[in-house]
Amino acid sequence: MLYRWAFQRTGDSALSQELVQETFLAALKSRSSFQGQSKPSTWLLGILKHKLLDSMKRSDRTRNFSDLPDQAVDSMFNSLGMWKNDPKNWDANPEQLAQNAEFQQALQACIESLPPPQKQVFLLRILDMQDTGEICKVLRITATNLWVLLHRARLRLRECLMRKGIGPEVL
Amino acid sequence: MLILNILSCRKATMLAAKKDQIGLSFLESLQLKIHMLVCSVCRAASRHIKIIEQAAQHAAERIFDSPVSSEHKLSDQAKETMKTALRAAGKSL
Repeated sequence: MLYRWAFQRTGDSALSQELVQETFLAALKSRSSFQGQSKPSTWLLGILKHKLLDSMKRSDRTRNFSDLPDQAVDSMFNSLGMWKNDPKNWDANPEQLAQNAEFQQALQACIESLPPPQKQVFLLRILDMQDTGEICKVLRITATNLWVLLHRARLRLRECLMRKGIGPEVL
Repeated sequence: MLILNILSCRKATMLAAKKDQIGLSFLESLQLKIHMLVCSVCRAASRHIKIIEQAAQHAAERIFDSPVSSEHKLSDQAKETMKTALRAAGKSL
């Protein structure tokens, strides 16, 4: 689970292995501080999150996010900037939707299909709820880069889920 | 008034994302509100996105439980390497 979590965010197998190993080593060293108030997996994930952010800050990689338009997003609108498709009006309770196995599978597949920078920003900001400033700092992107990437990720995910039939029938 | 009515759906969805992350200027905020008042498609899209994001947060721990490919799993060799390193570290503590 830890490796998968790290791999989702880094896309780098060797780095993910290294982070997981560092997590276990840190846990081993500070095991006396584990109070048992949370599940061990939650505690380990907390350590891993710190390790990941530290590793991103240390990284020399320059982030080169293209300012080119995202064709998949562009194709959702006509030349006047209006939606090409009029979506069905669906409503759902997010907590109930989260329990739906079909939704979980579709969401996972749709997140996997996002371009790497969009996926990374979506996971860090929406799923991990990391602070905007912190994400910009660790990914070395501007706040504008961040919201544009999120905007694109959101539209792609919505389109992808609808293509997979996640709509009024499933909810 | 013209400046308040020329927002396209594409621009409105961008402003909605910007609003959630870094906030909008007064004019942008007004433009977005007016667009949302008159555009049922953008209202629906915005609602979908909110539902998807909230559901994704609720499902965060579950959605990656099942690996979709072998690259999402630690190889047996990597597990062994890690165990060896942890055993060595455990002895030195």
